[in-house]
Formats: sequence, C-alpha cells, structure tokens
Amino acid sequence: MEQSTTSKELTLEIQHLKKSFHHGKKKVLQDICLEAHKGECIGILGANGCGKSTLLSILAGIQAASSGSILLNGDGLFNKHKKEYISLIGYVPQECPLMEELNAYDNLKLWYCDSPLSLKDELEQGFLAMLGIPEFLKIPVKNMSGGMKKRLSIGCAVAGNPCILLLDEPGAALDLICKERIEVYLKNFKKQGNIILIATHEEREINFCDRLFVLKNGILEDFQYNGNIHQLAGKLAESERSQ
Amino acid sequence: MKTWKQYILLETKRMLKSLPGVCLGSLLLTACLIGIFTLFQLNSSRQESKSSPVDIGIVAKKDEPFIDWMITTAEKIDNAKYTCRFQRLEEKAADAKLKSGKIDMVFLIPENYIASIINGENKHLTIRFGNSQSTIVSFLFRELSHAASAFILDTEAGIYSMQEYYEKHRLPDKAEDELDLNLQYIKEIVSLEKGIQTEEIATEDTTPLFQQYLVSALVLFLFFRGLACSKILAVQNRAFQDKLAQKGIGYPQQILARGIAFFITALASYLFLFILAGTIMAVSPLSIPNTICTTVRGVWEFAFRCIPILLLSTSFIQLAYEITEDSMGGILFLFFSILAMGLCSGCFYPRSYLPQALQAAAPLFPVWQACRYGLSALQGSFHAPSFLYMAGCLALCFFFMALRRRYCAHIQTHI
Repeated sequence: MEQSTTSKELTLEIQHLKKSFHHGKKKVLQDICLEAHKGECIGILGANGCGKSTLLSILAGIQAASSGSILLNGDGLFNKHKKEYISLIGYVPQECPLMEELNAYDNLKLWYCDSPLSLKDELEQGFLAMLGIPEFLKIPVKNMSGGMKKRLSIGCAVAGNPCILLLDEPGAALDLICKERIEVYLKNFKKQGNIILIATHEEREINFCDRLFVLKNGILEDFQYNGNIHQLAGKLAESERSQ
Repeated sequence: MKTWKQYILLETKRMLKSLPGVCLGSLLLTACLIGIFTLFQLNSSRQESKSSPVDIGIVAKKDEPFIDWMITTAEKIDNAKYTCRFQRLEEKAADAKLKSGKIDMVFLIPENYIASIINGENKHLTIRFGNSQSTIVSFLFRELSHAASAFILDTEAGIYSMQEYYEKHRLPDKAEDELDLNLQYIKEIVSLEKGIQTEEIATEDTTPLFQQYLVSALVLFLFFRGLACSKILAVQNRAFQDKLAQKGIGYPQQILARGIAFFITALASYLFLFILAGTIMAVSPLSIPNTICTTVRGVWEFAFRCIPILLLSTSFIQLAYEITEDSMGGILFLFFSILAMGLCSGCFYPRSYLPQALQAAAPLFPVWQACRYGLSALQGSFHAPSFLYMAGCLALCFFFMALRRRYCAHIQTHI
C-alpha cells in the first residue's frame, strides 16, 4: 500500500471488535465500533483497566482480537496484509519502548534503518526537530527525563511515516513545556491529514480531541464534552462502577 | 531483516559498553578460582610430603622386648623402606602429634606383645588414626589393618583348634610345636610378599588429572562468568519487546538477536583471555605437555576448537536470565545450577568418585559433555558426539527461551 493514501482519503473503521481473556470468561472489549476520518483526533476515555490499552494494542497489531474487523479505506487490511497495515501505524505505548543503555540517536537508528524517511533530514528540519529531539541526541535514555523519553518514543513511533498514530496516555507525568511540544507536533500531524487516537485522562489532551468516546462495559459510547470537567468525571466514575 | 540486523548491532553495542564491568567481574572470578586452586595445590602438596613416607608413632613400654628389633626389621622390609617412618613415642606425645597432624598413625603395643604372640595369648595391637586430614595412604593403612586383623584372628583360630586337638588326643610336645608354629607365622607375616604375590599390568591410556582439571576450570569459568552478566542480559521492557514484535521481529528472533550479541561480547573477552594466556606462554617456559598447548599457536588452536563450549555457555547464561526475568534470580539460578552440574559431572573431582547412579547420569549434563569436548580439543581432536550433544542443548536453550517469552507475553495480555 502506498503511503500517499493519506493525502487522498483516509478512513479507519473498527467493526464489532471483541476481545476476551481466559477462554472467553473475561470479556474486556464487547462490541467496539468506531469510524475515524482524515485529519481527525479521537480521544478514548475510561476508568483504569477498562480496556483502552488493549484496544490500542489490538489496533497496533500487537494483540489479536477475538473477533471483529479493522478496515482501512474499506479494506480489511488487518488480516490480509498485516505487514502493510502495521507500516501505516505509529504506536506509542504507556511504557517507553526504548533501549535504556543507548542514547537517543542509537534508539532512533533502530527504527529509521528501514524507514522511507531520512533520519538526518528529520533531525535537521523534520518532525524530530519539531519534537526537540536533537537537543538530547547523545544522552543515554537512562539519564533522560520522562518528557524526553516520551518525545523520543513518539519520534521512534513515527519512523515509518505512519498515517495513524496511536497514543496511550502520552501526557502522563509530563511538564507543561513538554506537553506543549507534543501538542504542537500532534497538531501538525493532524493537519497533514492523518488520524490520531489517544487514550487519555488529561484535560489538555481531551480538549485537543475532535471527538471523544468513553469505554464502558467493553463498548465505546460517544461523549459530548462541553468543557465541564465534573460531568466528565461523573461519566468516568459511572464507567468504573460498571466494570 | 534490516531492522533485525540493526537490532543485533545495537544490542552488541549495548553489551560491549558493559564489557569492562564484565571483564572486571570475570577477572575477580578468575582470581578467586586461581586462589582456590592454589590453596588446594598447596594443601595437597603439603599433605603429600607429609604422607610420603607415612609417619608412624610406636607406643610401647621402654623396656618392651623385641620392639626395637621389630622396628628395625620393619624398616628393612623393601615395601616399608620408602613409605614408612617409625618413631618411638610416649602415648601422650603420640596423641598430641596425631591431633596436630604431625604423624599419620600410632601403633599402641601392649605389654609383652611379642612374647604374647609367641605364647599364643590374645593381646591386641591397637592402631590409632586421626579423624581429620585423612590421606589416601592413611585410609589404605586403616583398611590394611582391618584385613590384617582378620588374617590374625583366622590364624589364631587355627592355633586354638590345634591346641584343642592336642588336648583331646593327649599328644606330647604341644608347647614346642605351638612355639614353632607361632614363629613360622610371624616369619610369614614379616615377609608377606611370599604369601601375596603382586603383579602390575599396563592400564588403558587415561587423561592426566591435570588436563582434566584444566579443562574443567575453563568450562566452569565460561559458565560462572555469567554471574557478572546480570546487567547486560537484563530482559528488555515489555513495551520494547512488543514494539519489535509489531515491526516483524518476533520473540524467537529477538532471543536469537540477543544471543548473537551476547556471544560476540563473550567472544571478545574470551579472546582477551587467550591473548593473555598466549603472552604468558610466549614469555615463560610454561606449556601443557602431551597436548596441543605446547606452543602459542597451539593455545590459539585450542581456543578456536573450544568456541562451541563458549557458545553453549553463553546460551545457558542467557537462558538463566531469560527464564527468571530478574537479575538476582538469574544469578542464583546460574550459581546453583552450575554448581550442581559441576558436582555431578566430575568437574571438581574425577567421575569415579561419584556414586554409581550419578556416574551413569553424569554424561547427561551439558557441563560433562563440554569437559569431554574440551579434553578432545586439548589433544587436537574433535569429539563429534559431545559436539552434537552440545548443539542439541543449545537448540533446547533457545527453544525454552522463546517459549518463556511467549508465555510471558500471554500472561501479560491476560492481566
């Protein structure tokens, strides 16, 4: 599949996705249906342990769904061409997927060696520069702050020039400057006609999203956020009780 | 494939960064091993000088007849001339010397012992041993004294039967005949070689103990070196593993990549070790006779031939940290498993010392096969069965590691 798909049209559809553990005894995702379009940022909210990370890891191709389908521009790519599908996905998990003993440059080299993008160009004037990664290129990951690690994780995730970015609580425990930098980058990513899915609890990220969904009882419920944080908290509490 | 190759390169770079620490740990380990071997060597050579000849204390009354004659006679016997050293002592002094290990055994001669033998009285000679620092020689003496005791008792039984026979049939010259018989008996004992003939036959060509211990030391060193590798073999976080898997580098490939990187790192320090050994051999007259290691070139040939052992050891070390997923757990697993394998495989002493059941099971342990392979390599030959066994163990290690990672991934997704 051509990467240029992003510039024309892009629709991600999740149809009746189900995921259960312990031979079907524990149903985490019951019936997930979602449609995301070009240039859209979708926020997924929900209580801790409701299945947000599971949903994102299924979309990233790390875990397999029990049933259901994921369509990209109407094609069931997940099952037919997993490799091609994976190349379109950038995934940033909660835990930073980095080699602690090596520096930022080495970590980037791992993911950029097979990338259509040039690491040098990206560091000089591309999105890696936008994320401020050149500032700490030679610092070993183990000596980095949480913000640096998160930015580097995003930098590594977008190495394949993806058109769908999956972020699992990207702003957790980050300072305002770092959050600002990530937000600027995400705005730019969205502006290019890409899709972003964020699992979050952060108000700032919630405000950044175009549409919000609450994951409750394994089902995604549309949520209209009007800026009332108490209303949102109530909804999440309801979600937690229903687990 | 490109990402996998890059991953191997980066893992190697990461591990090589920790190489100084690993080398330092290995150096400490080597120093400990050399220290233990030196102590053992010193101790055994001290014991050897002490037991060759064996120091025997003779405790008897000062005016005990025939004792000096008996000692002189014993010292003149060919078999005892170079192996025993007799000294007359007081009982207290003899016990003190026995306790301090200055003598190996004490003969306690009862009063009028020789006369009692001649007269057919039943007086017992006591041989006293110290229960610590037992040597093979003192052990043999102990066993021999038991055998001699049984021999004497049997002979005495014969003499008593003769006495009964004389009494029953009221035969004359009983005392004279008995005396004559006893004297003949003593004469027989003194010149036992007439009664027991000893012969020697050429045994099969066995590997000298020194070579066995040398190879065992190398094998144990290669395995125990893993204790210093907890940092470089710490399991990567799950997110990183998952991301690699997402990019098409599955769990078995990840394990293999780490295995290759660890092998390269271990090879670097292994070569350093042999550079050191080669340099020492080049500047000193040291060499291992009757092996290929008589020249520096031979040492390098041996190093090259032993690479399969290095491969086995690195995969076993990796397995330890992979299945425990914890540094301390890995260290403990390695330490106890290698110790147990070493003990059961005759790395610390010859296999013939082991219980029968373990002797049969010893070849099942990879360490035993590694030692056997190493011994062949030391002779410049190739032991194909051991090589194949080690290759099988290597494959098993990777299989278990891949299984463990898959299981962990499964567990993780079930939480």
